[in-house]
Amino acid sequence: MKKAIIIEDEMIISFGYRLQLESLGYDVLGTARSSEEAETLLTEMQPDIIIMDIYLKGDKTGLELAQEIHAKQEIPILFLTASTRPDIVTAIRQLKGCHYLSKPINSDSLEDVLMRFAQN
Amino acid sequence: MDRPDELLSNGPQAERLHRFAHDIRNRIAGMHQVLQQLAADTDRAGLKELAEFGEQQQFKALREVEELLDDLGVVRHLYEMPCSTLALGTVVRRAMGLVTHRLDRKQQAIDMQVREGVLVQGHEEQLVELVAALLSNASKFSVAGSTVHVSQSEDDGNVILHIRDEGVGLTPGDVGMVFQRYAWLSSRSTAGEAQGRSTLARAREWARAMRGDLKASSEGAGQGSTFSLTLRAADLRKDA
Repeated sequence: MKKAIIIEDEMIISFGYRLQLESLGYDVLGTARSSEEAETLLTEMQPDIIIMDIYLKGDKTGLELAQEIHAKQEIPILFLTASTRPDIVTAIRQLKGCHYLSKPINSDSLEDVLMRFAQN
Repeated sequence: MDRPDELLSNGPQAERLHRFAHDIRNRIAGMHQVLQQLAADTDRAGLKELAEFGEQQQFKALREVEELLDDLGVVRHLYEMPCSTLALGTVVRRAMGLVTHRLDRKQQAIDMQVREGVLVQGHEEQLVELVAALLSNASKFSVAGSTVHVSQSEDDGNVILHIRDEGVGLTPGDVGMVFQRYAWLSSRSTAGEAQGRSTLARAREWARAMRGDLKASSEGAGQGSTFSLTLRAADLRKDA
């Protein structure tokens, strides 16, 4: 079973992602609400994929956190964002091993992207 | 695509509007999650209809946000993507690979009639995504066991990729709105698949950012739909 962690500060949204991921056969190892919580979580757990918001509570943005994670290990990161700023979208595209979906997320789009990560 | 004369995209107003839109979308996404769970966990008569009404209201609210940003010239898409010469057949085959799970589930087939050696200008990863989005859309709005037809033609230095389905089709009103973000169309997916309602809008933005275009046509409800993706030709029929 593939393992995921979720980094999202909105509890209800995070809960919804968990349900969607579990329905797609993923084991959600944990959730973090800030960049600091995420860093702690990542020292304890080894996920196959990270689901992350762009704007996080804490000192770092999702993009900064993604760069730090990828400097240590190549874990695929899926950004789920409500932002449509072109600079954000471009920045995500430039990060290797990252993808993004626009909120609100539906389970079919999520499944499509997870299948894509699995194929790669 | 021309850039509007007065852009707010670099100003503080646009920054604030982006933030506002982001926060509103997040609130709506939260409500979306709640509604989905409420609807999923019950068979109570009337509740599914209520959930659909709620979803419709969410999309209308999202549409209002987009119209405000449009009216104020807030840029939310890329105007240009770096392009290279790509083999169209390879792009289509890669895209087919990304939607295999969806097609298999509905026992749908793809009739692929794209000639080898046709070269186009495009951003490789984005073009694969775009074609995959169109194939996925064709699958969602077609019944199990149907065929999606993929073909290509040439016109005035361009290559046009046609993706035609045998599905639920589009009413004349739907055709006019199909590329609007969060427009509420009358067509419904055939197996309860989720409808993102912004995917086709983004697909057209990507096509235009590659200096191409994306158009939709349909003979009407129940008559299937065709999405035609225009791309700049690089060197047509290299093998001809």
